[in-house]
Amino acid sequence: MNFLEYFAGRGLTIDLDSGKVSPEILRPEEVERRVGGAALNLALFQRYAQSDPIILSAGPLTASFAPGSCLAVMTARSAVNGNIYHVPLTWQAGAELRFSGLDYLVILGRAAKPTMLRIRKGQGELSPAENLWGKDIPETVRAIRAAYPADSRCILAIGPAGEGRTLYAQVGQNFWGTLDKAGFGAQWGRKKLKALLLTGIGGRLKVHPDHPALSRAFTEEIKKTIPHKVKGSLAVFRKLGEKSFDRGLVPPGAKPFACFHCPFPCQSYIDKKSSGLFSKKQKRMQTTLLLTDPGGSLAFQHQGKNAFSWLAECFRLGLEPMAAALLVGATNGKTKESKPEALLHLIHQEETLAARGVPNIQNLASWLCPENGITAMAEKLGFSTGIPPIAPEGTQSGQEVKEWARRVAYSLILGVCPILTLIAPRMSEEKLIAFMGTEDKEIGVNMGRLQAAAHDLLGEMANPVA
Amino acid sequence: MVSPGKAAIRSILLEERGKTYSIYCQHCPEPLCLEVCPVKAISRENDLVRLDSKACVDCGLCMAACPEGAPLQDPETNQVQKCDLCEGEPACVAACPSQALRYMPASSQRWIRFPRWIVQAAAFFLLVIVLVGTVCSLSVGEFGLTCPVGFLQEIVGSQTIILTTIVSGVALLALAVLLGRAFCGWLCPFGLVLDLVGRFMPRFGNPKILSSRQTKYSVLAASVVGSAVVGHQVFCPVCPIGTLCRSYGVKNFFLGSELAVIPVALAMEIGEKRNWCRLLCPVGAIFGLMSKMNLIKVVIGAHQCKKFSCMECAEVCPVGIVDKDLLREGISPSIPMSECIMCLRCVEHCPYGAAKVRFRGQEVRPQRVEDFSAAPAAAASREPSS
Repeated sequence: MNFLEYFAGRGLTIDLDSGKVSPEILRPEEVERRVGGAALNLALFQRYAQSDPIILSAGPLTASFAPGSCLAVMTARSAVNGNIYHVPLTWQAGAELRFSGLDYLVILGRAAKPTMLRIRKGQGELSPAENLWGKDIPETVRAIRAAYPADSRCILAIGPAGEGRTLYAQVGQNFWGTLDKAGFGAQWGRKKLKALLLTGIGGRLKVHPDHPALSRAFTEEIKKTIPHKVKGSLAVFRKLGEKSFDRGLVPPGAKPFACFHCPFPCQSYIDKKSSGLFSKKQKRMQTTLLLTDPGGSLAFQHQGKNAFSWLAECFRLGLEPMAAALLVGATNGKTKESKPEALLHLIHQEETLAARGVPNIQNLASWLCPENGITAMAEKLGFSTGIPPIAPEGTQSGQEVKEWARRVAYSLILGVCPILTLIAPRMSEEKLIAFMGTEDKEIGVNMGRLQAAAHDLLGEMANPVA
Repeated sequence: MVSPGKAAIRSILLEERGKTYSIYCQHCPEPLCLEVCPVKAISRENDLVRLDSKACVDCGLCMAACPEGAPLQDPETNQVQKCDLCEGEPACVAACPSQALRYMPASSQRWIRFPRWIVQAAAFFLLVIVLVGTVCSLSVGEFGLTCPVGFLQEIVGSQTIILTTIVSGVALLALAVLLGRAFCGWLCPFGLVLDLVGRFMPRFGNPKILSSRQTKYSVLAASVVGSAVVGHQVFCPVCPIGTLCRSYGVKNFFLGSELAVIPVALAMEIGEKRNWCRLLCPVGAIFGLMSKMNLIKVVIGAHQCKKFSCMECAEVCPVGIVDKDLLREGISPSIPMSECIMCLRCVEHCPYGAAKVRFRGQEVRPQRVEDFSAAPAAAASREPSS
């Protein structure tokens, strides 16, 4: 088996202008050069730059036996500042895409009417979504699940914020938010793309017969080095040095949640029923909130708001919580408006953070990212600022920023979770590359080629706005 | 080649509720899928329920019959498939990164029955046959024990409190704070009689009028109020525990006319096990009140439970307090300690270690079992992964 048997570079080009879906396969040299994930996205973005593309791709390790192999990466131009950003999509998105038989999607042009894209068995199908337009994200997800009950494990969708092209609109995944901090929701709204349904059930992937055993040994090795007493969102908050959530906001018993094939659950379900933080209406609509956005929770928390309640409302509307927290806080610190009113008010105004004199939305946090410069580096490289600015474990003092960028770059190329690679020092690219099973060194991706792809990605991604 | 869609284990995530359910074959002792299969493609050998895919005609009846929905259909070929535990080395267990899936031997704590029967027999022997006095008011040298219900009735009836009797009056209540209604399950001589008789008694269920467990609290209240009114203990003459001790004791062997109450209490066993204890016993009621503060509890962890295929805990519980419906939904039932008689039969019979004794406030989830090498029985839930 060689690398191309694992990751052949099969994709679909979806032209929303004409409604045409065309399969394509990349040349082996191109796959070998770019490897996958963010690096491949960047190459595809450059190729289709004239058509305002949105690229979604997996890495060669996505859905493999490598620990944390959940990742898909969405690349597009930010609605906020026009720069190119890579947004990691965790949970099941990458696995569903790969098991559907595809490695990437290129979405071009703009549809005339609201549209939904359904990916299944290597095929793409565009269908009208007028009935979904105007619905918030949970309503959209429920409606799609009612229409496709067997095939709807992973739904990417926009809410009223994206439809209204609010700069800080976010693409949601199922009922919850993503790490999209670049206003991709507005891009989807501009393209009239309401939802993307990814279905990989029934699909199959080749794996080397040694990989399950290799995975077991590697997972054990990783688990020895990562914190295991505190799980879920609380573990991430503590890694960030943020202790405000320890005061009972995230109960120790909150159910931790991990993405596809991840040994470290870094998200928590907050039970709305047993929490006094949610309104009756919110409790009625959903009984839980999955804390997918640590930065968003912190942003509201530092604004003196009821973090989870506002976060739930942002997820519902498809609004990026960190920016929403800042703008709501800046606009009406002591507002008497209710959450929906304040956020809807925000949706309908074209206000930017820059206009508010806040260049970096993570300035809100008590852990003061500019001190180590990680967030500034993320902005510069176009890596989503939703990736927690955790100082990478096992790094020498003074090297944190460089190491953070290096590890995140490898993660986004290979298709493994960047949070896990930051927390677990053993998640090195040398170890991970073993899961590609490249027996033929000439055809496959070796360490040298991977390093070159990462180098290219870090070099080519230098957004003008830091 | 891996294909999660073809795995014989499937996880369902109810995101809005934050709950994950895993669907996999429980290898039931009496599998319904086996019964309904029209072509006899399903068999059970060595605790393993197997599907012969050559004989199977993919009619899907097994999927309809299985309460777990364990037989699954291949999304591409529509072929029915089910877990065969990978012939003793389940791949899902090996791949699970968080070791939430475990493969471990089924072992019940059958040894618990021996100390319980020994203690029950010894208590019966001592209280009914040997010791002078009765359990209602027993003294061995300086040490005294008084039935708390009798003690209460005595106080309100005589309107006198003798300070020296207070210690013996509250001693058993202190025991209840520590161990709940362990007196009922381990020491009560009438409880032993009910357990023995109950083994041979046919059951017809309780009529609706006799279904309220609150009745025993009313009996307790009525006994106390009645004693205050008439000036002496009104319940003690008809108390089966006291009657047993008084009437069958060495000095009073078969003398008591009060004996009539015992057959009545025994006859109640026709409804449900330990009906007297469940519904009417005021001694149990007062221990039950104290048990609300007790330090230990019985828990049944639903994640270790095999739900439909077992229900052993609910079957053996003499006071019928294990909620089968909750277990079927995969929810750990809350055991009301005011009703639990701490007999530990659930712990004794549960083959999967799901029923256990814990301190109040202690986490319900069991410790990880590191050695899960041997024998059949899959447990717990989580991601299919492979």
